[in-house]
Amino acid sequence: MSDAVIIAIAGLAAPVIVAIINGSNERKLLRLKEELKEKEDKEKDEDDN
Amino acid sequence: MSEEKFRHNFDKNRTWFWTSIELLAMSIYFIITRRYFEYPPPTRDYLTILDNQLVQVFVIGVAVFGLVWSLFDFHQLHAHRYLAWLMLFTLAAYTAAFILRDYDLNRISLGAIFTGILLARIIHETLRNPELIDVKRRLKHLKK
Repeated sequence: MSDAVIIAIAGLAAPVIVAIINGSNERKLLRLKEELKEKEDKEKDEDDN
Repeated sequence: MSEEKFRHNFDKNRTWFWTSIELLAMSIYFIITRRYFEYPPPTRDYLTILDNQLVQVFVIGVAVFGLVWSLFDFHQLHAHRYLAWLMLFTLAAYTAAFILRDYDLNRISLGAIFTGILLARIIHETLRNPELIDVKRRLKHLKK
């Protein structure tokens, strides 16, 4: 029985860990995109002035 | 779908295409050899489940899904994510099984190396996020 548990844990752990890291990266990407947009707008305003 | 689009998809998703081929080859090998995890003894009962033809049909299904996705490049119902998760699940289970078997037999097999590298490649491919790297680079450039 323990062999089946090891295989099941290994099988399920890989996609779950990858999904968690991917989710975290997606959130980070959204946050950085907003930050980038704000900074680009600010720089544009400064250039216009 | 035009031939040009087909070729474009094949080139774009080449990693997934060839990974699916490798997975397909692995399942065909298991079907041909049969009782891979049973011989030589000692045998762990639950590892023989992976020799089962129904499990092989599942693996072939995942491989065919990968082939179809890489050639048609469809994005409905988060198909790409499910494909990556299914491949990760399949290969992680087989890698664990190979490692357990190698541990019992006190040797290292080609199967463990092969599936381990394949698993590492899929993890790399799934975690790869070029857009995030590009945004980080642009932010760094702006800060200077």
